Amino acid sequence: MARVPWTPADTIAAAALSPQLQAALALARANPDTLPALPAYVMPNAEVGMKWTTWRDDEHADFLKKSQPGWDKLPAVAQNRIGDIGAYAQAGWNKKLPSVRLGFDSRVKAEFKWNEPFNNTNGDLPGTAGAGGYREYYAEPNAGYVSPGYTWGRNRVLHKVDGVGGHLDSWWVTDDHYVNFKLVT
Amino acid sequence: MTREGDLPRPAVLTWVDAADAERLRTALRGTDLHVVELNGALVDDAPSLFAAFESLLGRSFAAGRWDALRDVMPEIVGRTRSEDSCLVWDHADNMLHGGLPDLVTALHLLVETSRDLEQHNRRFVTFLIGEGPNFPRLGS
Repeated sequence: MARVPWTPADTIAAAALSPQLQAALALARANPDTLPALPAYVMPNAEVGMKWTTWRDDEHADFLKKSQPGWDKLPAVAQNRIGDIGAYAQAGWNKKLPSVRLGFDSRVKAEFKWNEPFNNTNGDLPGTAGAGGYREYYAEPNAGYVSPGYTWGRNRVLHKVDGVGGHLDSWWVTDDHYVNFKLVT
Repeated sequence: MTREGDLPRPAVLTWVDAADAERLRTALRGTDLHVVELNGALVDDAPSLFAAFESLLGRSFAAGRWDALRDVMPEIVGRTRSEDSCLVWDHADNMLHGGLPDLVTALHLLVETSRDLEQHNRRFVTFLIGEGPNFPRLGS
């Protein structure tokens, strides 16, 4: 879909948003800097590690393959203690988890963004094109939405945090991955 | 990278003379980097660049929206999300003939991706291969 630059007619009342965007907007307004806890639809890292069954087959196989050289170097006594290559790889994966923050159920498979810079590169929103001035918050994908990859659905909440172009401290939403934007009134 | 060999000191962006393209690829095969090849032969502006990235991703996603490309870039360059990676963009000099503004925007996006992934302890770098004075020989 081609991009649609925002016009002043593109507004929406918060109550008219989808439940997912409403929830994310309320959460972002209450916690614009950081969240006290991840939303329920984002599994915390500690729970992610064991979710082998949610890995794509190629991803799982790839990590097992990368773990093989390390496994082969282990003395037999260590291999016997660990059990098998699967347990060894899983332990390695768990070590990586503190460095990533992933949504990891069937619908949410991307790194979770909260209060991240949004560049407004095309200049479809008020402000200087490419200069940013917005913060971005991921919202839960709509019910039934299945991501074709690891990206996070299409729902986003944006907060304008500078006054360039007006609308300082305003809140915006897109439900189609930055094609259309609406100013929340 | 475990064995950098012929590679220049890794930088977020590295410009490489097309005469060294195969030397670069050989060197990259000796590293742990997951290599993503962007065929730039037909890329000379934003629409053709978006098409090339969509081809890498295997689906359409952006239609000229740089921020959408920015959003999916980690998926394009880091399929398994656990490995270091690089983008090898050949024929990048094609962008210098009318596509310079789009090249600058694209490079800004790639640099941002590198910085984002660095925060997740993952390396991502871009090699731009082309002809002409903007593309020095490896090691020069």
